[in-house]
Amino acid sequence: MRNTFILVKNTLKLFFRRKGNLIYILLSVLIPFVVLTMNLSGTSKLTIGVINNDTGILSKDLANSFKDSQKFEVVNIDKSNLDKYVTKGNIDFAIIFPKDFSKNVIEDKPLKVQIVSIKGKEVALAVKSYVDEYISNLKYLSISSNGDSSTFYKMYQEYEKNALIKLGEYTVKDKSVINDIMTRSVGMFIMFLMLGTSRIAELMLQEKRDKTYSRIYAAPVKSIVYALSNFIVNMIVTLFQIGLIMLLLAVFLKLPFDKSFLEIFVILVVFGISAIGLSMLIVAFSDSTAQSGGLSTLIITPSCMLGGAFWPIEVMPKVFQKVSYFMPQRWAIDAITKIEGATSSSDVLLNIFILLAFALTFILIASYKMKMSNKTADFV
Amino acid sequence: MKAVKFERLTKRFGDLVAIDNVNLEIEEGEIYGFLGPNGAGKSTAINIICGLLKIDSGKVYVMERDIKREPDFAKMNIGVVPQDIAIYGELSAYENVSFFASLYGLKGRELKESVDMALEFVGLQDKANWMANKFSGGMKRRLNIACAIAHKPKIIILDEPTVGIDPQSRNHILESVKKLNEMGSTVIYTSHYMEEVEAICTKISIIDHGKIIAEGTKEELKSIITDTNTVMITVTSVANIDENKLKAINGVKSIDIDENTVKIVSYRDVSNLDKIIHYFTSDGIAIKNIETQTPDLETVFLTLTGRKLRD
Ligand SMILES: Nc1ncnc2c1ncn2[C@@H]1O[C@H](COP(=O)(O)OP(=O)(O)OP(=O)(O)O)[C@@H](O)[C@H]1O
Ligand SMILES: [Mg+2]
Repeated sequence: MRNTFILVKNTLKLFFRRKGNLIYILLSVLIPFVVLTMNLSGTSKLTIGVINNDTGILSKDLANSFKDSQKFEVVNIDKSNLDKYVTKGNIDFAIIFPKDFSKNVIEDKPLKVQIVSIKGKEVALAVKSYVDEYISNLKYLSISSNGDSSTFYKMYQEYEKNALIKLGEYTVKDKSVINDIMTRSVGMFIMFLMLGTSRIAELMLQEKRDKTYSRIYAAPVKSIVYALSNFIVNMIVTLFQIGLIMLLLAVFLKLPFDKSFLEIFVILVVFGISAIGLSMLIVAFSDSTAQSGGLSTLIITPSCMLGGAFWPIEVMPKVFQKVSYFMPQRWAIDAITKIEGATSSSDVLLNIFILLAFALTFILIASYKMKMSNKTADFV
Repeated sequence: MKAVKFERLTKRFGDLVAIDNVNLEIEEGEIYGFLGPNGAGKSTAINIICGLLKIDSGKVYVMERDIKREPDFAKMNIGVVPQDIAIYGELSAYENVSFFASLYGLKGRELKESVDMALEFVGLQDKANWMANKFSGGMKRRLNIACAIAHKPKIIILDEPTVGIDPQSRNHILESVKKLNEMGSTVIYTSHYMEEVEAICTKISIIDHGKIIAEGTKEELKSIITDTNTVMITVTSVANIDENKLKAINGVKSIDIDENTVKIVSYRDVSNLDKIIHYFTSDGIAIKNIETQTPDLETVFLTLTGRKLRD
């Protein structure tokens, strides 16, 4: 017990005295936070590309209503150019109106409005519900006009004038933008968190290389005590990072101390434990720092990509989307999205449970591997 | 009390037998030297005593207790100075010694005093707050020693502590080792520098290819290869020398006269140098030079293995 404490103290000292580590830890919190606040204050207008195959005027009015809301920029584009616009990032999402959109609205026939989003599920959903609501309002007109277009348009003009529903005041879209920025920042933070944990776990390999490891074992110190102390150090540093970013969120973004706040904290902590478990697993399976450094980058970056830390899961091919279920990152980000969407907390409980399962699996395999190699191998 | 004891100890690295069925006993209070060339198995033997290497077969006892059964007892009683410097460059000299000493249970004032004492012992008390990576090679070696002695172990093991340092630091270290021994510690010292081992060790074993090929005090080792002493006396003229008179002196085995030098070989257990000199002076033969030839451990090693200790 006392030796654990001594080792923790020493490892913390060594970690923070090594050049760059303190700066790394601070930046890992500050960069995602700055990116978050900059994007939020930029009140970035989303650009909608409208591909209008409709011959009627309803689609135009709908598109213009986006413009009126001040939150969107609307550009008319050609279907053949869609890919180019999307890849260049000139538009955030596109709405494709089918040929008979107006006609079908009037006749109350099924509609096929397509929404292509590259900004993530949240924005797409918000826009879709916006469009749905717009159309469902028109539905009343179409039912009342019995599918007769001249009656419909007469009523439509009245409707427009009185603006029975002010579509521009739809609030979800603001929140969705924030949520999207939030998710990306969390993704970034999560990656930095993982890279940080592997730095700390690698201290064990550095000690082996520098022979202080065998000196520690020449003293009455059990190998489990040594591994445990490294885990504790990792936990302390990870908690510090999470605590700092939560503090920044609370102070500068005025995030209220409510249930969601607590949930985000818990999700990040259990994710942190699974990241520490993974880093110990990597160290257990590698026998040099060079090797583990290679393994870390080989595992952390791609798994962050697959887990949706860099972009929304939905933009990836179906196969990768399935693979993403095996990435702890996916469950953490998914939970954050859920919390922002203000869904019930029992959903997040599942995420917490899954992340804990990841953590437990990693730690069990790592300690089994370490135990096996300690049994057969020598300490020098 | 036996400080360390090996019973039919064997250690393999794959196909290589690093320690080959070795029996060994080191008495308490000894400065015991392991002398052997590179790859002989010295460090392997030491790492086994420290519990850092697994034993393939045989038994090892520290202070007459089996290290496999009571590893912590052995570890508490040993302080090891590893061959490769094992200190933290980012910690100060004080912090290094304090960290390792605290792993042995030292704390509070006792810890502080022990650390100060250890640093003073190796002459680094002035540089206690220096970061270790600012130290010269010799200073690092000394700090490497300080880290092993602060917890006042009964057995101090030094694995080639003088490699790659200047003669001054080297002498300092050798003096320190003797002092530690005088203060009551059993010392185990490995080296392939014969002069060091000859200078400080009370008992030596010569190791080669994982086997002890000879053991004893340095005199005992030398007598293995020869039971005689040779005196070379250079005189102004050999014309008047009476070989029979010289041969009659107690202990003299053979006489060989070559130009102006008389080579007299005597049995080792008889001291007759004064009588030999008396013969020359009483017969009025002027002595220009006297040289005694005693074999050194290098010769012992060469004779035993057919190889030199160092290339
Ligand atoms: N961990 C290891 N794995 C494989 N072989 C090893 C290992 N450690 C030592 N050896 C081999 O065992 C033999 C004995 O090595 P050891 O380090 O004990 O020699 P030594 O007498 O200390 O030599 P030196 O004077 O160079 O320090 C050598 O052949 C060495 O290559
Ligand atoms: Mg060695």
